[in-house]
Amino acid sequence: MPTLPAGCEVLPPGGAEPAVRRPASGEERLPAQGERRRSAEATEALVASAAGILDFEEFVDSVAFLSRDERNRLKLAGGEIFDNLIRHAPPLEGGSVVVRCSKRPGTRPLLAFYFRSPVFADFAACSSCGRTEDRTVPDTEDEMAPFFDPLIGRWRGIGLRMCRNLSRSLLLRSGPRLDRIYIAL
Amino acid sequence: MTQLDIVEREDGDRYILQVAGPVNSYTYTDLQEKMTKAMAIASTVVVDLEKVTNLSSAGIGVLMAALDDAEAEGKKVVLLKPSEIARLALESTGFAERFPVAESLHSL
Repeated sequence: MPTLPAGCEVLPPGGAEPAVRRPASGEERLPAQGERRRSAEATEALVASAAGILDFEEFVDSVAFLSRDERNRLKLAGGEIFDNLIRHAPPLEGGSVVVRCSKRPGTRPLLAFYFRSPVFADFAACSSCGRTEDRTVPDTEDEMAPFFDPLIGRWRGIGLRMCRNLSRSLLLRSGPRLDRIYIAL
Repeated sequence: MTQLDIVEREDGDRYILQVAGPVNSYTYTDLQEKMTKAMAIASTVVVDLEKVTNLSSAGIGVLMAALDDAEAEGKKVVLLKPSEIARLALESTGFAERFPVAESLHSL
């Protein structure tokens, strides 16, 4: 698993996890009258493959309750996270990643990825994920700076910097039944 | 639009790549190949990003590597009319100032 951006938070494994609903593709639910405090949300199950990034982009584009700027930010930051999952967290149980976008009136949107990976718990527990729950751990921004890797002939760390700068927080949570990553704008 | 579409054309000593669609981890190799070809042919490579619908770190890495090569070889890489999301992506890396940006071919 790669190092994720400084600024992320790692929570300890949680208790019983709510089952992830896997609705039909592109399902979207807007608050009904009298439910104004509830979130608008959209959910989709993505195939855990490189081509799944295209479906992720289409999903974000289809979420009607996002502003254009929110859509752009979630597409960029979420795309980097999805790409990292596909590359570094397999085998993903069930071959899929569920993505859910939600937003309450007057608040900023939240993007969540739900999956099950045998390697994620170890990764989430490591200290290289930047800021952890122990606030005495310093940020590792300088260590996360993008750099050109002459061994592979390309730049590395650009996606991590993008995620950090495009989101307010990134939260990793490994659970007994589901692993989750949350991106808050 | 889910597929990347790149139209190539020569314009004097400039080589123009009109990029449309998402430049992401699934599609960036197409841009990489065409950038390599363009850099070998022309002294100035113009990358038109007006119709780009996503620009991931993979795509930005291609542009940054091309910019590095151009600087080393006395060539130029110019980004033309970046779309809103392309501009946001570049700014989020902290390297936006490195890229020469033009709003029209005439201003080059």
